[in-house]
Amino acid sequence: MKLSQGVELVSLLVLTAMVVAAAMGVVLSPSIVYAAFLLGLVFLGIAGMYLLLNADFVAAAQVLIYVGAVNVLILFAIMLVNRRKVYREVKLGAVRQLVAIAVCVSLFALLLYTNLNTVWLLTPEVTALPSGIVTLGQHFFNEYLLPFELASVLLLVALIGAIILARREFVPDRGEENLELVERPKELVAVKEE
Amino acid sequence: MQVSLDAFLVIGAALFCIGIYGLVTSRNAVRVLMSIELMLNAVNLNFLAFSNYLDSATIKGQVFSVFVITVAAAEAAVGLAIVLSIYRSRDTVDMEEFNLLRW
Amino acid sequence: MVLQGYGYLLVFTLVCILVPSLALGLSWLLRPKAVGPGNFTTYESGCEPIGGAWIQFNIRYYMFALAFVIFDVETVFLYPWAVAFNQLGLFAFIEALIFIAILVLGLVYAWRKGALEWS
Repeated sequence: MKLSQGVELVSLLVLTAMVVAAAMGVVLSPSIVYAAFLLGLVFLGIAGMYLLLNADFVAAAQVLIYVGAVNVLILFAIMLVNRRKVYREVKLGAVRQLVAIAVCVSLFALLLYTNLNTVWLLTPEVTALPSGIVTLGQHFFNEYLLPFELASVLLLVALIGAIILARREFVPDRGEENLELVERPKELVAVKEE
Repeated sequence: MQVSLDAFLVIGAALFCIGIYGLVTSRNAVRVLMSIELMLNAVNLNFLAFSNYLDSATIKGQVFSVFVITVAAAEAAVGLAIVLSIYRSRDTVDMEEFNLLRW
Repeated sequence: MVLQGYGYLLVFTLVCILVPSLALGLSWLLRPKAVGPGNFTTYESGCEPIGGAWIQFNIRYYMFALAFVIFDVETVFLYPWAVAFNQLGLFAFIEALIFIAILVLGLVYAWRKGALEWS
């Protein structure tokens, strides 16, 4: 075993432990704020795995977009909607949890079984790969040109849609420094129960 | 022992299942979106693992994963805006209270 | 089959983890352990915070984060184009301009709707 392989293996083990533990924390932690920070840890660990998979550009994109932007967006959204509140009990809550656990564990078992019983057509080892960024750029502007342009349309639509959804109702400037979130009048949107 | 494709696929599967569990059981709408992000990351991990081990010359898996990241960012932006909007009208983020469309 | 040059990143990460944990761990070992009501304030030797930390924040924070996410993704798409610029040529340049133009529409929209203004 060469030194680099040993380093690779140890890094993968550490990253796996980190990612799986943090992901469990995201799902199970009682505090949503801790869950959001653990989500950032998951994203960082996965970026490390991308490096082990020779995808340096995607690792950088992961750190830039997920850790830098999406996670911050989630934290801001939590700050906007966070109100400590006890949730109403639902019927058969424990049974639901058990069913969910059973489904997830059996899905994992199924995926594991499929994985171990498939023979992958591995390509022979290529040593001294160049960084993939130039290849990626060529892909973007040759066969993936249409998805590339559509991505910008998707981003445009997402930006406009999210602004319309999240924007407070347009209140003409009354010149007051109002630090509260301006609520929409309740009666207009209140939906009849039942 | 060399790091193999199987290791990354198993990690991806584990992450995906954790994400599904969170998606199904979370009461908080923001946590549901976080679980979806976990699942998308698991898918990306699979893309990159296949790209590295099966297609290391033309790394098309990386192209796909960049597109997945894009869609995930757009999804997070719009999804969280929807959560904010629902929170303003219903004053809660509890998934069990979101029954406007329930038949 | 790992990319060259990322060993430095590993070493750097390890140092980054080691230094703060050493600093905090050593000071935890060496410091006298005094317990008082002052330990539980938010800023132990600073101002008294006004109000709780669990307040609702202004929606404008979300707007800025939103615009940031969108243009962050744009950066990620433009970076490979910039690196491979010499191999790609004029056609790709025009395509990238179209890409930017579409997103500038979004920027103009956000600007017009006041999503980029604080007050």
